[in-house]
Amino acid sequence: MLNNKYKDKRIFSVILLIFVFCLSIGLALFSSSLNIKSTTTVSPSKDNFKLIATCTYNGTGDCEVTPTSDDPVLAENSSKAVIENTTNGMVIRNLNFYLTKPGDKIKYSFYVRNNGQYTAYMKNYGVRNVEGTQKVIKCTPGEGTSESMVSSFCSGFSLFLNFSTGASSSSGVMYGGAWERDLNSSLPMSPNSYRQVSIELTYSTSSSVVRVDGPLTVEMGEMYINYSSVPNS
Amino acid sequence: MRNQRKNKMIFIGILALVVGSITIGFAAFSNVLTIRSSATVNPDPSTFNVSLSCATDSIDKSCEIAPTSDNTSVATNSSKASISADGKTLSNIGAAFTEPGQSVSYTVHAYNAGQYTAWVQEHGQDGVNSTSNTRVCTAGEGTSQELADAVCHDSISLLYTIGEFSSFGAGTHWYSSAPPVELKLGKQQYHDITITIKYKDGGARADGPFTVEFGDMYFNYGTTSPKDYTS
Repeated sequence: MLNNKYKDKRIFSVILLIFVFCLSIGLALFSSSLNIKSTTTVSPSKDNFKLIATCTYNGTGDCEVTPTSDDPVLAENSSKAVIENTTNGMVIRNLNFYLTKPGDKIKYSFYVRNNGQYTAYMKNYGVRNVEGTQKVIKCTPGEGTSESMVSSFCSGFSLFLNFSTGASSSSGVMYGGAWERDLNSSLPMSPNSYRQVSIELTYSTSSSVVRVDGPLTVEMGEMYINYSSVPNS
Repeated sequence: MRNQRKNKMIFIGILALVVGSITIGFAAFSNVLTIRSSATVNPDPSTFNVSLSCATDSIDKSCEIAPTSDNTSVATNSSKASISADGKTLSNIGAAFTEPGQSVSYTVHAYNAGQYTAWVQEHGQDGVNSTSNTRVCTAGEGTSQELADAVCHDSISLLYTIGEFSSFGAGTHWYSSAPPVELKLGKQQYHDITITIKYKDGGARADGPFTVEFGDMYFNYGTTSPKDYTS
């Protein structure tokens, strides 16, 4: 009888041990999930991904960009661009290219600095339509020239974008509707590095581009470059 | 019990993946650079440069254009033409005829020194001394003005050619017209403009000398064809 009682006690003790053991494993597993949860609380701050546009490679932000050209008259008549770093992104506005004849070139150069803690990648770039139109470029003839000549001239209009001091560059033809292109190389920018961005407009010397015989104005759709903290897949 | 534990582990694994994905998604920050631009194209007007000229390879407006004639005396006594400062007008055209059948010719060139192909937009003739008359006859000694006028209007004609195109002058009153054929002038090229004044062979005679003075002739060029000549 005593023997049976002792036996039951031993069985109960073993069951209790097994139970405590299982509970430990369960707790251990649960604490492991708590650990995982604890890593999610380390949520990165948006402020740590910080790009700024600026006039010099070591600039600190908003400034004016003076255009350059081989012909000082062209540079003088082209407006100074304004760089603004806003909460909605970087904005370069007031670029106005002044051209007179085939072969004329105007260039605006500025820098994008990575002042954050993450590597930044250029994902894509594109051009939007001019407001109220389905085209990325809108040409308006001035006095002394015709709509047809201006239209022909504008069909050959192109901009050249250069995203770095290296060989990575791309041209942007300014006709038709809005477009967007992926940047396959993704052009990484590590923290505290910078990349020069230049935009050059050339009055084509191609014989297929009509030489316009009077003044005209050209409205261009907004160009944009998207940056991300992850590269293109 | 084992199945339950297995399920629990799978659940925890999935949960970890989801949380991990959210973490990565959260970290995909972005920023955009926006560029707002425009352009102004303002050609230099001097790059379009077509002018009457004495030379065939450049613009020379400083010369006097002596008329030519089969009759040396008529050529010598007729006036020398000149090119206006703006290069568009030929002035001082006049003939000193003595009898029917005579003629004088002035030859000048239009030279395109600019960067655009040019087309003749219009050509015409002004009145003499700001009048509407494109020709004025002045009787010389021994004849009457009435007779000189009659001969001038009935027997004197003006013919001009621009390149391959020939036309008679429109008459006695100023006029302006677009050429009926396309008159194109390429860059660094020239074409001849010849003006011939003719005293009709067998025409009425005056009984003394008289002079005929003509209004300035002008030629306007532009960068586009004035009309569609293909239709």
